[in-house]
Amino acid sequence: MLRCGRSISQRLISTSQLSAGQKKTETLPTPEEAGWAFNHVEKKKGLYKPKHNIEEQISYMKSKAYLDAYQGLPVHRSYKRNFKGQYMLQPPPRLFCIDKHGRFNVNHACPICRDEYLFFDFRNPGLILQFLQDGTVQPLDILKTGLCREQYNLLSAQLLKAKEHGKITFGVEFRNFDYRQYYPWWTEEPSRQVSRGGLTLPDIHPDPLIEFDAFKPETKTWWDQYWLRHDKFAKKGK
Amino acid sequence: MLRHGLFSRLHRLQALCQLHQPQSSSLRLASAWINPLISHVDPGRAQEVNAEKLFTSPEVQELLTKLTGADLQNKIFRSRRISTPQNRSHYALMTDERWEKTMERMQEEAQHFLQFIPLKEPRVETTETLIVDKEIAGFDKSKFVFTDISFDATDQDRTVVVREVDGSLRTATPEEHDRMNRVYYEKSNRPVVEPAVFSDPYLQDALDRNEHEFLMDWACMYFEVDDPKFISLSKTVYDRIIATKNFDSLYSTRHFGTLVFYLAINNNLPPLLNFFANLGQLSECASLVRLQKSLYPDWRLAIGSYDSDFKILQDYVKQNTRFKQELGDVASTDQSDVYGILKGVISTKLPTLRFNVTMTLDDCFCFLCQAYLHASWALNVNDGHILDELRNFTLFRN
Ligand SMILES: [Zn+2]
Repeated sequence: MLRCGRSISQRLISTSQLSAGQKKTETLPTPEEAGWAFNHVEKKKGLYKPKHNIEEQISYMKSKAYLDAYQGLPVHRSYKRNFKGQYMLQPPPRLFCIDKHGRFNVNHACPICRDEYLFFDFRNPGLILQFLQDGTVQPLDILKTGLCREQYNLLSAQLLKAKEHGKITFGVEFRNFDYRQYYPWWTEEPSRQVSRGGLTLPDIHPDPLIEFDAFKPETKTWWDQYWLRHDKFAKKGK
Repeated sequence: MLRHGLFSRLHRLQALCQLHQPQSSSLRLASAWINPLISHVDPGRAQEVNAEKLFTSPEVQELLTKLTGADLQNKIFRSRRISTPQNRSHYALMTDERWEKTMERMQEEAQHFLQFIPLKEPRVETTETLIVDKEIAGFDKSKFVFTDISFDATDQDRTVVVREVDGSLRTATPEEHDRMNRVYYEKSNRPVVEPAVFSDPYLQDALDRNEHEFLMDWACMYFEVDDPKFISLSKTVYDRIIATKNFDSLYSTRHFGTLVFYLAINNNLPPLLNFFANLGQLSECASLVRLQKSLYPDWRLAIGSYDSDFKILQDYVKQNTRFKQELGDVASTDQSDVYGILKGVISTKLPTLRFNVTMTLDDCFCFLCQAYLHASWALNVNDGHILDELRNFTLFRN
């Protein structure tokens, strides 16, 4: 409580100093003065994000604290952006939650920025996999995950890195070889070109729609002839 | 005049490039696929081996196709992470007959996905200096690479030349050629710089996670098949598979044929024989021996045309022990490997036999020989008969 009050007062001081027109770098509080944004701190604005390395992140994601916090669900599942009105009309995602000095500039940071242990890294593919669409290597929509732009770009970069380091595997497209290119004495034609995922169920299990004779009471009623021969019918009516 | 000169120069350049490309393997030493660390072939014979010719012979191709299994669910059509999300799943309700037909069709389709990677010797790395223009030496601090990106040029016959800093113009090395292909003709999953997974420590990391198929699939897409890097990478992966006896990771994929060929051409069958024996596939074991003998034909060890699988295998065991004694280095581990094969076959094929697994190896072999003598041996006795005889024999013995 005491620490919290102190940090708030310091924040007030710093903002008043900023308004006084001094340079930012001079008024920048050190982490010891501003305080650290540990996971239990709810309002994080102006505090510094603690720095952890990848080993700590991996062990944290295996710990009971992580399981209790996220209940085994992806870390973005329980996150809700604060916006007024409908989901479709929400404002664009924010550019960053942590400024260049390493301080939070918002209170409700995105699901990666808000947890002190979390950051995207190719050595921990488990975290990246939480942000991929089911069964693909495509990241989820940015508005669905609630990430800030900065973290979303980091996600794309680390996803590519994880793929290139073999941490996240994917279906490599099938390479068809024409043996005649490689062996001058080979004469056989190459077989059909195939591609992974190119095989669909209708190809192997052709199941065409069958037209059954249905009871159609309106057949042979010559409706289309009615207006052509209307005069004749009309005359009859008269 | 100038235009004419330019044209003649271009033509000459093209002619030179065409002239120098097909020169691939005129001066060849031993095959790159013979690895002295695991090979049991005598060096004189290894010099004569032409791996490409052997690999493409119809008999070898047929045997390799037979040895590559076809596991549809867990290997060929297993689920992989795709690049674009699938819209919806398709469920079909079908009768048993229809189901069987569909599975047959799937088997046929699967054969397309088991096409082997062409096995090549590493390409030559020499370049040809086309022109030396001393007057433009030192024109810049870096080289200039000229690439033909016209429509009719394919990735293989594209003309790529390099102007060196000293003013000489030379044809590109194969690495530069491939790199230019990657730069100008971008494909997904084919970055310009080689991915880190193709070299240690990330290679070993991927292999530890049993991602052999992914790794080899990507490697054969990324590299050309005659790239020395691809060949050394394949050999590294295969060597590590052999060292850890993890053949299941590549079984029934398109890379298994090459792995089998690699072991057969190095005359190092026991690990693979053990693998098939543990699966209880006697006919595959025999095919493997057939493959090995067709690669290194020897009239003294030839297989009779009516020999059954069991006899082929047993002959191989005998010949192998004799060979080892002749050579004078009786590797005890290899011998036990060979005995282990028979043990494996028996224990998987005859679960009802109450075969004692803790039986010593010599016991196992003696037991088999006795059974073999006991059975009235006809030329085309199939395996079922032998197994029946074996069963009778054990009943008699008990
Ligand atoms: Zn953020």
